[in-house]
Amino acid sequence: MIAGLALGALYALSGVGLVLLYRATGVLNLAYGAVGALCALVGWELNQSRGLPLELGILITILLTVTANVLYGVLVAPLMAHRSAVVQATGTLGLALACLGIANWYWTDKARALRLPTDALRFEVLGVVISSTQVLAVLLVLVVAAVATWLLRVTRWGTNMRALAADRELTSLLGVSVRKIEALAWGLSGILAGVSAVLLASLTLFSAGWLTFLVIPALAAALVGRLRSLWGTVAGGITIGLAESLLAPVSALAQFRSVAPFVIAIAVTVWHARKRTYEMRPSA
Amino acid sequence: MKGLKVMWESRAKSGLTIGLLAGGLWALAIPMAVDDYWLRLLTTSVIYVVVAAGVGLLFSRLGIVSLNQIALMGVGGWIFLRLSYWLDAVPSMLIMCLAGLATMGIGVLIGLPSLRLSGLSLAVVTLMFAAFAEIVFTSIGFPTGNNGWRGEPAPGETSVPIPSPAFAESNTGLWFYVVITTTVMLLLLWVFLTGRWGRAWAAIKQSEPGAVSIGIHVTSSKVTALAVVSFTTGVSGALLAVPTGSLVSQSFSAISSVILFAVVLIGGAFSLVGAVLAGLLFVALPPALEALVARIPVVLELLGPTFTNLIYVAFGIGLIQSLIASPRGIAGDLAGVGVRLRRAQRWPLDPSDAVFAFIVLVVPPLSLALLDLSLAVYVVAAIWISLWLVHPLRTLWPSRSPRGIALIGIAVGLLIGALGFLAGPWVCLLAALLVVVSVNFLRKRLARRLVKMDEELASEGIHAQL
Amino acid sequence: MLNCKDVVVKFGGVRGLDGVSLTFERGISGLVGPNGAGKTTMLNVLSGFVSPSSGRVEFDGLDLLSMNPTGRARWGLRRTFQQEQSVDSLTVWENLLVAAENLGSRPADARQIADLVGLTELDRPVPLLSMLERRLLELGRTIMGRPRILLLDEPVAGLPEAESLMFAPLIERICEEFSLTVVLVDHDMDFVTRACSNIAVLDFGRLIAYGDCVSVLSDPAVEAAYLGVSNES
Ligand SMILES: Nc1ncnc2c1ncn2[C@@H]1O[C@H](COP(=O)(O)OP(=O)(O)O)[C@@H](O)[C@H]1O
Ligand SMILES: [Mg+2]
Repeated sequence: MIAGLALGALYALSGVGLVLLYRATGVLNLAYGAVGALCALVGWELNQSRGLPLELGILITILLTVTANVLYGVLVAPLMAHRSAVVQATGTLGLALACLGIANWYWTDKARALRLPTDALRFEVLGVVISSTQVLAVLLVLVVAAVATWLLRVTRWGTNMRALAADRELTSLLGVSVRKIEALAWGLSGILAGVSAVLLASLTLFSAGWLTFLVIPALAAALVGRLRSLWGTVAGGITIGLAESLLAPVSALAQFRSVAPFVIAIAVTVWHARKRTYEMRPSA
Repeated sequence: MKGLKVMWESRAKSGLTIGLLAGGLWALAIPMAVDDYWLRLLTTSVIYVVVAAGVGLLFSRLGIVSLNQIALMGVGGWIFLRLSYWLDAVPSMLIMCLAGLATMGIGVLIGLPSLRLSGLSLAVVTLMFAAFAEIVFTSIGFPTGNNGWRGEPAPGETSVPIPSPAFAESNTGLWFYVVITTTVMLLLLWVFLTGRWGRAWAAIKQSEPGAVSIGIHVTSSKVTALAVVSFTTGVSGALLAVPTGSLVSQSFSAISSVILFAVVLIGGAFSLVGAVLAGLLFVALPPALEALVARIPVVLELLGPTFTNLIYVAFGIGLIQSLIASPRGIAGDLAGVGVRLRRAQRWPLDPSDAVFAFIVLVVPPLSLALLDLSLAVYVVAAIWISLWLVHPLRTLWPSRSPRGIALIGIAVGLLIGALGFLAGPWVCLLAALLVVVSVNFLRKRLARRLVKMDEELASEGIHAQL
Repeated sequence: MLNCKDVVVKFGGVRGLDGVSLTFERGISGLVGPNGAGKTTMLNVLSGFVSPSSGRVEFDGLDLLSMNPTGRARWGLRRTFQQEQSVDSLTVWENLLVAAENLGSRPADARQIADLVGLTELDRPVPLLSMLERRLLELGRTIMGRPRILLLDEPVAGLPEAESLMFAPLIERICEEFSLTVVLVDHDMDFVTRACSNIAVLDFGRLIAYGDCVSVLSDPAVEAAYLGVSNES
């Protein structure tokens, strides 16, 4: 239950990263998990074989995710900015493939162990053992969602981001520096990708393939929030995490618990698809 | 009615005949030219050509990104295996169609709700389904010839693979079985594409409001496309199970659906040639590279034993590159060469497409079948290189006569081919790369200089006016 | 008789249409107004691409709002768009054919319609057509099957004067042949007065005048809102 809550919080955290980027730039980043996985592997490698302290390794992981994200966001994404949302999302699949290819080539798809110092810090509440990594995950998602909401609603950066997602060209005509804001959004979402990759690696399984498909429950969470609402995404992520952990004790269904995101996403899609809307802009 | 017939005769039919002719020749030539290992590999590639064609159809005609086609293939294969156990008196072709129909139902069920929402949600939901299917396949496995709905052997029992049809016992027999089935599937796609539905899809691609205003049901047209493609995909999945009578879940991972999408875009989503290239890239490239690298220990040492994973990197970059710069993929670039050749200079490809088709599509399989393999490879290489060179050379020397340019191109092509025959494949490859790259580089520089000159002239003109 | 009652369309805070009540009789009526007046929005409401937040739209007592856009097109409510929508990847004939197939008409009828609007050389791809031919093709596509109402959104925009003049008789002929209710949107007043008997004038989403050409043209409100703008440009 607690494990499910923590897991759900991490899905939610990733979902928030996805939604934040999507709202600011119109790009649904399907490489979210793959970039995180690759960078986490680099950090882990530095820690294990170069003897770097773990904290430094994690810091490097996060710096790398930010760099990779910003590079893609500044160099590649603008080339597709005038295309449809689905093409832009497909472009990020290219990034995902590349990251996964490098990770599988250098590290193979073997599962590894990543122990955070917070894992050791355990305490008991009402007879349940909780590690502080789990607490950290839950707290983090609440803080991040709150800060991101505030950022988008109140600050000038946030207003610009929302304007940007609505109409890129018009916003640039208004004198907003599109590139800078997009870089910022990619960077912020990169931080979240790095953090959730590290936490997820320590809470569950640390392998490139697994972390790459972290994007699936995160996407499901984001779909629950209709790719717009941050709190909807948080709720969706936590629901998925809880659903997975509730299925675990039922032995007949335990092996299928990773299908929870798909089932929830399909349900949400069916619900939203009741009414058809028309895109009045003729496609280019 | 007459107009329709004229249309059909002039455009679609000539393409169909050339395609069938060239495809038939290739199909006959290949079993003669390659050994058993490569024939099996190419057979598998041909099966994936249908799936690639389906993915390409959805993307190029409707802008639909469907990321679960390999998973649907697994669905088709699973149902086929189970049905062939239960209905062992029924011919396997019929069971394949049943499996295709069941896959169609599942494909439509997944796509329908999100199709009504947006293309993005369809892409996301199909990706999720691919991940879902991977989990299900790995946990329940593929049925073998045993009882129970999952058909897995009970402890102590051994698994009994479904026997394959007698026709497909030998490798060559299997090859023709697969080629014929895939041809039927491709024809099915073609019939839809050139018929009433294809026209409706074209209208939707142009503009949804425009399509709605002439009475087209957008959702049901898209669903029809999804249904047809799911059907052919399901049949291909069943076809995959024919040779060994069993399937393994590793073939249907979620990431392979993504990779398939990437190679379809790289090969070219708009054409059958693109689908064929995609099938080859998807199935035959990794083992081909492995075989190649095994011969060069230096590279193997440098890259390590897991180097085939690096192909993903190339596919990823290729996917982005195709989306941005070359929406018609390699096939489009090749066709572009042909079109430019025919437009820019009438010779040597005058008087008609037939000559071009002959050179590109017919000579290579013929030489593969008739000549010694190593010689044939260099003949093919020479032809392709000449074709690639003519256009760049022409922009390099716009004043030269087309005939002269074409001669130079062919001479260089033959020279490289001969070099390869004498000095080995690596020299050939290197020389070809060197020539093509340097000619293109020179051409780009020249083009830039011309643009600059234009600009300078223009600004001088403005100054003169002022 | 096409009847609109108190149609209101809201785009967020903006009112695209602000309580418009109008009746279009059989025959050709004009709908004019300066840029952004809500003409296109009106056509979108009639053809179902925009749902009004309140109001009614009826044709001879039949509630149009209960049908979806595809249903309306098949029923016989046809429209063109400001940007013409012929399919570039198909030929002229295929363009007519795809409309015929989906609007319940036969290929033979499609050929007759090609003759009616004056299209020849039907196997040309659309990108090779002139602007006039594209407009004719689009008109041809909308009158397949059994049209009842025809909504034309600036059918002659971008055409030279001489060509746009030959459009008016064509529309009249089509209107008579199928006994249609035609709503013609344009801001070229000459063209509209040539083709229409009745004219409605919109400004800022409100109906400011409606009647026959002479009375509308002499209406001071119209002069202030619309003609002033048009004379400047
Ligand atoms: N989909 C939309 N979303 C928001 N505003 C719209 C939309 N469509 C039209 N409008 C606004 O409604 C008003 C009327 O537009 P329109 O009907 O296109 O005018 P016109 O008379 O030039 O055809 C304009 O101010 C326009 O900006
Ligand atoms: Mg308008």
